[in-house]
Amino acid sequence: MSRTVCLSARQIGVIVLLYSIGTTILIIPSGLASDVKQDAWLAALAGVVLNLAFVWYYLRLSRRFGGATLIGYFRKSLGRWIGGVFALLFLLFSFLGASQVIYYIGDFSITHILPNTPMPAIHILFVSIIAMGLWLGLEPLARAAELMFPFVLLMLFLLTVALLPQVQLVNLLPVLESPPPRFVKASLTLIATATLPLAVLLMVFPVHITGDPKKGERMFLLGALIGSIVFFLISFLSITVLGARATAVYLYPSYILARMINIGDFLKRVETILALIWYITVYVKASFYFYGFVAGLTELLGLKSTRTLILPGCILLVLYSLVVYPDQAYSQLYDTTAYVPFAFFSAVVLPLFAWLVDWIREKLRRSSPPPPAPESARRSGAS
Amino acid sequence: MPAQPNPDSIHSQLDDSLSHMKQAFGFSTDLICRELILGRKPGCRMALLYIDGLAQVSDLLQSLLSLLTNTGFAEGAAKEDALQTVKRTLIPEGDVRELERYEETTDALTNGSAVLLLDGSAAALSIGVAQTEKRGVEEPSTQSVIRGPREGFTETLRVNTALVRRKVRNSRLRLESGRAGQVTRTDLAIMYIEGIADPAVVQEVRDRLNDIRIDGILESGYVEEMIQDSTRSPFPTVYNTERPDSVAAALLEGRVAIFVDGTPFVLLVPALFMQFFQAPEDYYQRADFATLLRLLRFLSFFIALLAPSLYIAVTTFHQELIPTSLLISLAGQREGVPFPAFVEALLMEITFEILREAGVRMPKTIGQSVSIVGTLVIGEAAVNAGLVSPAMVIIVSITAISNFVMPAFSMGISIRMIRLVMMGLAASFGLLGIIVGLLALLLHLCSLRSFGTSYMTPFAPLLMSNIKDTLLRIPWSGMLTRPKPAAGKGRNGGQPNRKKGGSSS
Repeated sequence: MSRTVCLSARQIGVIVLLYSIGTTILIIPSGLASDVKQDAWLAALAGVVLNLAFVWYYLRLSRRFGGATLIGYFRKSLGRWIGGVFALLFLLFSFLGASQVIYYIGDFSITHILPNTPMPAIHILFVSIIAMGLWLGLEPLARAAELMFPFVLLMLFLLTVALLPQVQLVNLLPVLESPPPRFVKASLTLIATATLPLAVLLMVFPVHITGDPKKGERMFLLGALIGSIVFFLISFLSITVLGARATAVYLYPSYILARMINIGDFLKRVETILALIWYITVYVKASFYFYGFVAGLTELLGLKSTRTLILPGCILLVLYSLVVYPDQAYSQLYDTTAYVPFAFFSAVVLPLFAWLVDWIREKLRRSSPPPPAPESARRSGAS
Repeated sequence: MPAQPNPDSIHSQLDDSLSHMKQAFGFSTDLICRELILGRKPGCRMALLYIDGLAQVSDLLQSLLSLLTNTGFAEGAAKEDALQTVKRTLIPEGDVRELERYEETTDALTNGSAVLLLDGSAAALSIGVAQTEKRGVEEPSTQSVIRGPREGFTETLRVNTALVRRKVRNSRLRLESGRAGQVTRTDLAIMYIEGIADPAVVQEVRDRLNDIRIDGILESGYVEEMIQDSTRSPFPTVYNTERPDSVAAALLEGRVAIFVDGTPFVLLVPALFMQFFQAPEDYYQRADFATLLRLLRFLSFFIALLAPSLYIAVTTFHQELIPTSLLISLAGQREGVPFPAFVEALLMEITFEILREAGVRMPKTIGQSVSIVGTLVIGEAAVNAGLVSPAMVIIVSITAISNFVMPAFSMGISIRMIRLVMMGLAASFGLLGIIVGLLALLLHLCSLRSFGTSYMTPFAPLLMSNIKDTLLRIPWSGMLTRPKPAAGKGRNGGQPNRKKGGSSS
């Protein structure tokens, strides 16, 4: 894999931001509200703190990579075969993640934007521009994200400001009604959707970042911080404008939020225009999820170019995104139950284990002075 | 030294070399050979060759003939020195060169120089007396301004370079010449300012120009297509202009200009997306007004790109976006129209494109009839005939007008092509199709490069210091640094100069 691809620190910040709010702002308010009702905004607030904690964990982890990607690090610390198994499990996580995201955008489109269009058509269309982005490479993708970022921010700002007149703080009462276990579960669900997928970005960060690594880490953290503020804001608006019950009932409450905008009977029905936010953020999320899969598999198989796998990967992605969730009810249940431990296993436990092994090895190496020569030879062969 | 090591070197016998030259031109009737005898006694035979119409030899001949009887010559001088003597004492022209090979002499002749062959000398003199028909410096027809210089480039390379030199009076302004086109041997020149232009870009331009392999170059469009980064992109990555002030401004920003003989269009590289939204006049008018104009151009860009597709998407898929009263009136208008909105829009767009093409190619005298027919097919008559709805007529008209707002014609062409794709996407996927189309467009734009610079600079990658002359045009007092990617480091030392060059010349 070529190491010549270079993104700037600012670009990685923008990508982290768009990546962590893609799908999150679309579905999370609903999931939170069904768990903890009007306390959803508090769960989101707790999510902000947890989000930053996990991002800090990823940044610390990435410092150990030493010029490798996450997949490379697995094999470096666990050896060729066990590391390979870990890498495959992680690739499964990114592939599933990508297809879930595609499912959501397809489902969102046929629910709200294009009710009469068949879902496969939308999936094929959307996956084809993901393929185009990956084909062109990381740099154009990052630049496009950088260019779209101001528009997303502007529209989020407009959405927030236009909804302020309809905020009813009474919807927040009573505060802290829900029992602590449900509260914890809600926060974990949020983290599993918003933060843990960031592990896939470790295929890009810090390998493909130019300039000062400290600055890259700062922008990563900043992107995650702003992203978490955005999903907190959306959750808060959903609860205060729509009320806890309605938020839980709708699958995509933030879209309903946009539908509520009505300023003097003049500015209304703008939800289809604001849908641009969701499409852009979901596009970035799906692209980098899928990049993680394609680039990881390329590295694992020792292929020369990621381009080889784009077309077959995209065909798989279209097909799998059509069957990943049979229906909306299943998707809601899966996301709040099975997905959470799965995400924690793939995106937290696997890297943590690799880190632990790496750490123990380093300790052992320090205690026994002569450095094992075959170690480095094997490492260079594996990477 | 052996007498004839190379079959291409000029014979020392005048008769041999003359016949060789005539054969080289296949006895073309416009090759004139004027034989002269210089000096008395045996005299020195010589022949003046030139191509009729390309060279203006009357002055030269007059000077040669008036000195034919020069007594100091011929008698004293040995034959070997004759050439030097002629060169030093007899020729009134400035540009005189010694040639040794036939290839050089034919080159000189086709360039419009006169060639002097001397008996007994294995060399020839080329005398720069080229005199081609020149069009005067006129107002450019493609990029006109309300305020600003009225001069435009002509078809003559030397006139064009002089026009720029007159604006940038600095010895750091470099001009390098070359040839391209294996048959036409067209003159090319590149111009840049040493110390401002990036040497890597200049070298890249040189390399790419040297790599051109083509029979003929008749317009700078040939060169543009041969040196651009991506041939498959609908977007132009080379800028062309007819205006010396645009070229001077671009040079000051660190770009490289490529002049091609025979066309008033000069190429500028690297060309960025933003550049196609900038008109020279932006810099001659008030900064705030120029900024508003720029924003208007961006709006026009999106209208020209998206208006028909938005209309299709909204009327076909998203009727809820239209206010109810407008929706009822639109539905009423479309009641009698037999086609779906997409077909309706496509018909109108194609009709307009036909009209436009006809208007460009048609003799000017018939222009009026085109405009009459045009108002019939895109207008009231088409609506009355029940072929299209009135709203569609308005959409197509505003699209067409917006397209003409683009200061650079080449960008307008790209929009026209992409508009049709967008219409197809809108017809099949509504707003989602448009969003996907825009995403694809954005990705494509972000992947483009022009001579090493990202096409979307300074937006992506973001260069804060360059934003000052993009969407905005801040006042000159605020433009303290040169644009970054193309320029040398440091503050804009030339800024006051640029200010004067911008507003007074």
